[in-house]
Amino acid sequence: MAEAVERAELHLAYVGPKAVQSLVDSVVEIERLVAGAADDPTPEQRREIYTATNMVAGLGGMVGRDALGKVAYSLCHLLDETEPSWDREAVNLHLSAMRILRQPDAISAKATAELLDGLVGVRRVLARERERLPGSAA
Amino acid sequence: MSGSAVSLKQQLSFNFANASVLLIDASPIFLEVVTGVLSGCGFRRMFRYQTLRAGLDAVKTHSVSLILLDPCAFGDEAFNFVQWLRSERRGPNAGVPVIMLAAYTNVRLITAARQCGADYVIAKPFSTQGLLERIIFVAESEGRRGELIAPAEVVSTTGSGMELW
Repeated sequence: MAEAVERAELHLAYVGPKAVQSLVDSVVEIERLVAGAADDPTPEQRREIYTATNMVAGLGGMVGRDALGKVAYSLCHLLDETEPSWDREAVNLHLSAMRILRQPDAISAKATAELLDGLVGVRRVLARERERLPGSAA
Repeated sequence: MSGSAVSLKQQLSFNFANASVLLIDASPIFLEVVTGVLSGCGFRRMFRYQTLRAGLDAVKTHSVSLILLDPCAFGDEAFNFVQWLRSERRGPNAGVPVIMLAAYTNVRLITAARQCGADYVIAKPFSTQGLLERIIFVAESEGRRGELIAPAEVVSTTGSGMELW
């Protein structure tokens, strides 16, 4: 099995640069989709944004862009939690983080960890706000 | 799992050269990445599609050993696809192992995957070893042992166990 894994990782390294470029392109695409969506996005717009974000979340960690993948994962989480509406400011905050992390080593590991914690914090605040809304289960 | 069992597992040799895999993922780059990983693991026959429609046509016309599907871009249609596959009892692929690959895995997705008949959900990003282990796991399950795993008596102990059967 070890040999198979080693060979598989060689194949992965081969497609790595192309995959990284694809990640960068996807971030640009997500920005374009979000900019083009109204404050109340259609299900189709949400799906397009979610699909592109999901791709970044899945691929980032496989090609050495873990932090970018984690931010994308957080954005997936946000879109899921706020469906059918969304919070544009929180989405834009995630996009800003993704823009920063498009470049490898753009910020220190400590700053990256703080950035990721901050996004989790934003989602927590929004969750608490949703719980306070009339008609919520809490 | 005991240490000896782990050791035995690591010593097992696999031959995926004759296995055919159906990959369905809306992302062309992810198809390429997974193809690379599977090629490294010894898979040679792969059908790769970006749409469920094309994947559906493939299972109607080819017998496959494994399906890897990312449901994210397809919504409920992805789960309906697997449900349809399982319902085609006389079809050549009704019992084929189905592994879902998804980056964002919420309870809704896991529940839908279980209910439609998928064998396993793997969260992206995954390691190559993780994917290979899960493929072996589903191959061993559901009475499919032997289809993807080479019997010990025919496996060479020299060279690559992946290639020699």
